Amino acid sequence: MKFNFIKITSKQHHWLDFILAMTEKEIKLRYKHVVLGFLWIILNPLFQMLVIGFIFQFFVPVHVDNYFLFLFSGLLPWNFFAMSLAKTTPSIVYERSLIQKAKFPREAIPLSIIFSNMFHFLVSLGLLMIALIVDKLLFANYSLVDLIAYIFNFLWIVPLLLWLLVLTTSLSLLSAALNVKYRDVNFMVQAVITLWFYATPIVYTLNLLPDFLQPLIYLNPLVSIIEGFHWVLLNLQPAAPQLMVLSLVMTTVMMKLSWQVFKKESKNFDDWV
Amino acid sequence: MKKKHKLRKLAIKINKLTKNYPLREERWLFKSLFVKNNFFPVLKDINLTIYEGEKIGVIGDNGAGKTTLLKIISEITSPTKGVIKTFGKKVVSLIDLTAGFNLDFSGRENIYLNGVLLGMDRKTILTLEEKIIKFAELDEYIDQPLYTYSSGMILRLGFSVAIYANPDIFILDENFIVGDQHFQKKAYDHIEKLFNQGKTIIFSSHFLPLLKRLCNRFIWMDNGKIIKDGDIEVLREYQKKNQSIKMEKSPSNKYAEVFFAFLKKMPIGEKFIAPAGSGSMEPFIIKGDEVEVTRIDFNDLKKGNIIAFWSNEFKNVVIHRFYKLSKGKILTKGDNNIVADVGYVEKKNFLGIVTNF
Repeated sequence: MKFNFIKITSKQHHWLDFILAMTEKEIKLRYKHVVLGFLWIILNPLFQMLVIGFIFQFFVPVHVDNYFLFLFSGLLPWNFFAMSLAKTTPSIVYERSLIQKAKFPREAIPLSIIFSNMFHFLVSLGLLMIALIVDKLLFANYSLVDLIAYIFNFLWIVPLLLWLLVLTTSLSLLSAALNVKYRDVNFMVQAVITLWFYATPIVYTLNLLPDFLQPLIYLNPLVSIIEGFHWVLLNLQPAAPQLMVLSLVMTTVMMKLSWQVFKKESKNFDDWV
Repeated sequence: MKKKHKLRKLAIKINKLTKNYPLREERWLFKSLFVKNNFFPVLKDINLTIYEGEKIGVIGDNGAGKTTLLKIISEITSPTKGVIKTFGKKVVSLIDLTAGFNLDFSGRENIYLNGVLLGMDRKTILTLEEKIIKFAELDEYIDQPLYTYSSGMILRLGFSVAIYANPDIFILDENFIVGDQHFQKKAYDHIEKLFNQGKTIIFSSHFLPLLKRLCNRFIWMDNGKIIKDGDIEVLREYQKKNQSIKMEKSPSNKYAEVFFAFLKKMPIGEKFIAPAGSGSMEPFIIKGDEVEVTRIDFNDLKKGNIIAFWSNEFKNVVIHRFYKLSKGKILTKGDNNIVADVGYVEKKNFLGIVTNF
């Protein structure tokens, strides 16, 4: 009786099974008939880093030790977020044959995309962390105590990942659900993602912004998350840690709202796809 | 009779259910946000109680709302108004056998994908995998990607996964029997077995002889409403209505007799295509199906052959099975027991044997 809340019913068990199966499908599907296979997980952001790094270092006067590492540690979470949002938004419409012909939890479609992206993100993040540790060991002359403290700090990645996951899921569910009725949403999301990239401190640091913008930019919940990654991985202090609470509250509210919208709309997906 | 009903367990209860499908209209942003959409009523005020173990045949013309009713029962779509309650643990709908398939994956991976979609768990699928592959007769192809399969092979795989899903309430739509002749027979036998297992089955089809043989309750839908609900009489009435329309519409075939005379002149060994004039060989040969007939000598006929001959009664070519020999004439019968017409074949009205259909 005591641990009743842990016991999962057969219905929940099947829900989990189904989402896992869909995620597995999503991951496998991406690398079917691909020669380099999983190598693309790391190659893609690497190329992106090189291109952006090469161009922006001439324009953005960022004072960090290594601009490329700074870029890379921001790009990884950003790519997870942007790719998930871009792919989930039209996902319900793309899977219309499934929606019209089978009964299954509708959220499985966007969630499986997000989880498969999360898998890729985790792999590349793991590799980055190893590279960072090796760097500290070989080039930064960290003492053993410093190194252990640095690695111990990596534990903060867990809540950060969770936060990023919740934020991505909430926006994805919302846009995927709305896109069923209004296909304009897909176009909007594409435009917003481009804009969002520049509204997030990935290629620049927040102290480059004019003073009046600094508190405002925390309305973008992704700012806190990217700053969090910068802090954990590169020891960069966030510009205004107290404002992160604002982002956290916003994320929670968005998640609740999105879930409600998705649940309400998902009943009628079959009518509109 | 009423007492008996009370003892039976409920499987599905539908109360005052209405389903409207919204109509897509091209409007500009503000209008589309504030003006309510027009809709099209597909189901109107449906009341239906289904008990455990009932085999229900849903009949009706195209657009009567049959599929929508099945979709509502299987919770693919939700009602606009009214309530539906299902009491079975597991409802499996087979509105499309291949819904969960992905062409890039192998047959084996697709068994897993479709199995999960049909509500099976990982362990169950793994234990049933070999049986499913065997039933689908795909042994050496199973690890090939699905895009290398023929459409028949894909359907066979879909069918095999479906019958092993083992639901409490089974929902079948339209063309459920798939594959080539040999597989059709196997599929049909298996379906018959399922029907005898005491599960609740709801089956919508235009294939009346099949429904007639398998179901014990019939629901006739027309224009979004259930207009008749009862035993085999409902189906007979529907059949009668449909036949009367067909009779009015199709003129008598004046040329059939000339055509027969022409075919009769063809030499032994020659092959030709002829339409099946009746549904007496259903479920394997449907009325109007074109079959390949090979001219052979009347004396070479063997019991069990499917033969084509001219029937004076129907003024058409009839496809039947050689049943027995009596007084120099061949007595023939259709495979379909319900349309149990008997034919007599002599040398003069014999045409050939059916070699492919």
